[in-house]
Amino acid sequence: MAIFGQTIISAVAAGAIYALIAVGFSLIYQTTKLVNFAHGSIAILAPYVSYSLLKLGLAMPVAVLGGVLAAAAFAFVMDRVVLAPLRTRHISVPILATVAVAIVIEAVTSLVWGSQPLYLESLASDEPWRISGLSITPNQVVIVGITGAVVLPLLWIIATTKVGRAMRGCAQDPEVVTLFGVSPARMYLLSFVLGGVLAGLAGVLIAPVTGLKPTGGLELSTIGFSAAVLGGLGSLPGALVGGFLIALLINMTQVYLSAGYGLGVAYLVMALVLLVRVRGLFGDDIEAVRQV
Amino acid sequence: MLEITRLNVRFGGAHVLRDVSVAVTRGQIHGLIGPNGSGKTTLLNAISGFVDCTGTITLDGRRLNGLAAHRRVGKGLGRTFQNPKAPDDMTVADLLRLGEHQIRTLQWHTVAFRPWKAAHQRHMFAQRCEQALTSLGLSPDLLERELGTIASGDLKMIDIARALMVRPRLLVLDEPTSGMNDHEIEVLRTRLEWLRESGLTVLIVEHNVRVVTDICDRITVLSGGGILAEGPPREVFQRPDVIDAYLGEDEGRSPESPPASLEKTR
Repeated sequence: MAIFGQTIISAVAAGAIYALIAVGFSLIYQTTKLVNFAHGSIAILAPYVSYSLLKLGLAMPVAVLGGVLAAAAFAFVMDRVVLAPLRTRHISVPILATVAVAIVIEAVTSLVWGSQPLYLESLASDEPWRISGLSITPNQVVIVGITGAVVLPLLWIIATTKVGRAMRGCAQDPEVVTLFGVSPARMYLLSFVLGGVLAGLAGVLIAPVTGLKPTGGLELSTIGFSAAVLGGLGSLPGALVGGFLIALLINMTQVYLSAGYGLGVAYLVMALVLLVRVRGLFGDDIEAVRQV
Repeated sequence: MLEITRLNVRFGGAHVLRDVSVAVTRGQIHGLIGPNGSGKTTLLNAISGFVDCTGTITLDGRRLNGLAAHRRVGKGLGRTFQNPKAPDDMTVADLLRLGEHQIRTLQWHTVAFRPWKAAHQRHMFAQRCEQALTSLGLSPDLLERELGTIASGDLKMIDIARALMVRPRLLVLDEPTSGMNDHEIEVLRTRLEWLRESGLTVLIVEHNVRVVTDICDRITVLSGGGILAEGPPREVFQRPDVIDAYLGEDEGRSPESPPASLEKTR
């Protein structure tokens, strides 16, 4: 029972991070109809930049903030330079371009920071508190707290404000929002920058837990995509729930089956959902995935 | 009001519009007619910024060309499409509420720091949405329906309501009456005349000659990408070259027996 409780606790902490990734994934999808395969790679850029800023002697909070901003800035540049010129093409062209960006990020990070894993300090102490036989670390509390403080207001804003409505409208028909005086290009950019912030946050939160390596980006993309697909691509609350469910599945598998199967389960879930119920748990429209 | 001077549009090698100049007077309903393929919709697309063109387009003296499509909306331009832009799983309310962007309410600082004012603005806007529907003879119950489930005649009306949400000074309509029944056409006619009284200028592409003669103050006839005639509808429809151009599209009808709708206007 203690093991079960402990698994749930680490699943909740991991789930918070996966949810950050998945919500970013879904946010970009619901605005641009684009599956951003570089999402996880943008996420690991943040801790790499934080690592270097720490080396330069900056304080932890500043380094973390710098890393997140760097991820957002990268997403900004990626949208303007890589994706904006491809907007008139068939949707598969920009999607392939995101794969290319992911490969470039992986190569450049191993060139700059080396392919050996780096270790980053946690935001808060990893010294556990013991509560009736279970141990919870302050860092886990911080992870869940940050996710809640960022994702919940964001979901509320997207669901209720005119900007949120315009972002959703963009995915449906960019010309319609144009006729309301809204620039779709700006909404795409906004979704990418917000996605970059979410990804960067997830990156700096997960790096101290898993270590930092250039291939980590693909891993995060896979988990984030599985979570987003499970929740229904384009549904932000779905992505939030999907993140926690995937973390629970991965952690349960690692504890009760074998540590090596964790990521495999994520792939399996993604494949099953895409095969059996493309809409996921809460999604409704997923045409782009069918097309890819 | 709207001045189009020496407008040219080319698609690859095709010269779709040649030296088209049109002047629309404030407070008038200006008809744009011509056979299929004469460039009417292309002209509308050039005005609203969806196709590239050379020449000048000014609205109230301010240059439109060179501006991105979404910026032209801010200059007072609203338009509809022949096939209404209606994303299937959006509700009518969602669609109309996109109009909030143009009226400069619900700024983020209002939402964040003066929620009571934001609530009031939302309430006023919801009323505007309802009123936009009822003034076009539609039931406000439609607001919560998804666009994919709505009949085509109603969709045309909703598209017009959508265009009016941005409070345009020039309303551009692309074949609004196609797919509408006589009653709907009558409702639209009344509404357009009311809007004209309240100072709105309308540019309307229309096939139905009856509607054109009834409501248009002036018409421009396009043919083969150029302007064939311009003037008050009754005069224009009596010109032999206009009748020829119009009959050209109705295959199988001999030039000696003009279509009934055209006959009535004489």
